[in-house]
Amino acid sequence: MNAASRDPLRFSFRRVGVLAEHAFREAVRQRVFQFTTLLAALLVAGSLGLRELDFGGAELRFVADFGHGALVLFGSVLTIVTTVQLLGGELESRTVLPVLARPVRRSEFICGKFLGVWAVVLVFCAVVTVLLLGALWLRVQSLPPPLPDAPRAQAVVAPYAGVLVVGALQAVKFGLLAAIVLLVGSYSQSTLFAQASSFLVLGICHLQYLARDAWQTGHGWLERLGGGLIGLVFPNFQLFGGEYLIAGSGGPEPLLVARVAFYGLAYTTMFLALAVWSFRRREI
Amino acid sequence: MRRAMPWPTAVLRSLPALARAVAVVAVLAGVGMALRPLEAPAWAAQVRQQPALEWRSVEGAMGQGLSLGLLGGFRALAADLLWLRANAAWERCDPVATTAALQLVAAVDPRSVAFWLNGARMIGYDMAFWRLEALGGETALPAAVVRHVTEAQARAAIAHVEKAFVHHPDDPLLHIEIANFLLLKLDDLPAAAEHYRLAALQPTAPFYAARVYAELLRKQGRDRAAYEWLVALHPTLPPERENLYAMADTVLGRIRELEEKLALAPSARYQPGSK
Repeated sequence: MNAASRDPLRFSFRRVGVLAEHAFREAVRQRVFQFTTLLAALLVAGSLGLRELDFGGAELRFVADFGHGALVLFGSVLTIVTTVQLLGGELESRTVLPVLARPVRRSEFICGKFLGVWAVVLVFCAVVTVLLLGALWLRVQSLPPPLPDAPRAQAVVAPYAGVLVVGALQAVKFGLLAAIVLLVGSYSQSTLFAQASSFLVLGICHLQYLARDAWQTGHGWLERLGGGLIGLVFPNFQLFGGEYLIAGSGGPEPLLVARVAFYGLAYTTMFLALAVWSFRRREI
Repeated sequence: MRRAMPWPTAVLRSLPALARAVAVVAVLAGVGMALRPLEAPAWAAQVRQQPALEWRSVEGAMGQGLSLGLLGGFRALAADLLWLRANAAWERCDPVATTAALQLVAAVDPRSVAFWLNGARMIGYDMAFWRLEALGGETALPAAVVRHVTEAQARAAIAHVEKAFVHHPDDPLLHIEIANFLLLKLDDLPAAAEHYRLAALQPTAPFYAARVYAELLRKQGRDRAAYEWLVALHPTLPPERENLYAMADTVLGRIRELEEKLALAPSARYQPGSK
């Protein structure tokens, strides 16, 4: 038996690229991308006006927090809805059949969808981060100089590096979320179920640290076991939040950022591999 | 009519899907264990910079809108809205609702020093007045009752500010706030002076903290200590023509007053620029 008969269709990055490009174009044309990007941009711009509502925090931190809130909220919605529509929509409408009838591996199909969604999310993150940097710069220009009432009265410095790093980490997190949604979508029989389950998983991942706490300090064995299992199975999305990266006086720590990024990419690879494995066993 | 599948058959048929799910969970648990060495230090660093949200303590009290806001990342905005809630309760002179809202604000966003300071002022000054009014008014009450209520609220306010040191260990304003409660409500001059001293030692301390510490030493009759403190302070201050807030000339004037009071010999007196 020669190699060709054992493996008639080798994995092709070129085909993955074509599928990803197609998925990207389809996703960009969807209203959800335009809608979430517009809303996030409006919120970031609005944060300059909403600072009237800021009673406690420094103004720049409020603007940065608000921008990140927009990035996290609408980025999560965009990632889940786009991924479910691209995969679940094709499965429900059976348009996946003519694609898979061609010489395309299922793993290529999943990887193509993933890369297409991730590219869309990267564009979203880039747009919102640039707008946020602009909003911060505008605010810095209008701030009065600090009162010299202390020996070390310092001029206000905007957390530009922190904002950039958090934007990049959020992009990594959305890639991980897209891989999780693909795994959920590879199981589920309807787009509604896939979307509901994905939002549920998003909530669990954001509160994963509570499960870790229950594992370490829980009272009964059931609480500890349940907490331990949830804490191990689901990634900790709070790590990508990044408020602590901005809050640090010395700017983001490169080693810390690298750890979080590697953590996200490793989980993404694993979830993507499981999604491929699950999709290959699925009856279409 | 189609007959329902017997349950043993249904269970057997779902076994492959169940096995797949179990396999996925097992693999993810393995990945979680393998990535734990990456996650733990990053999480520890994050909690050090900004303690994780005490979700269980705030979730029930906030309502769905604010809970979703927090999950979505709008932590600062959620804290601002809760601060509005605290102010609404404060306008109604409702100590229970105000305290609850202040605790929520602190749990949601402990990064803002202003929330801690203003919350402590509500507890220490306003709530004491509300409680005395509820009992019949300060003028109608025995002095012992007035003192008891005033001191109890001042201690509650100090306890509130002390919680903020976890998040702002180097902030001089927290020490100054505690010192003011000790000074104005508890008449504890030595403790107040000590907090002003701690405030003056912080890197971002305002100039006045060091001057007030010296004044509090003088009020305790510790003129020698006040003199030595001011003599050490004066060379670190910028000239008054460069920075009015530093009040270098005022500090020098107080040094001269203390020299007179301590009857120091002319040779032992402080000479600006000599150190």
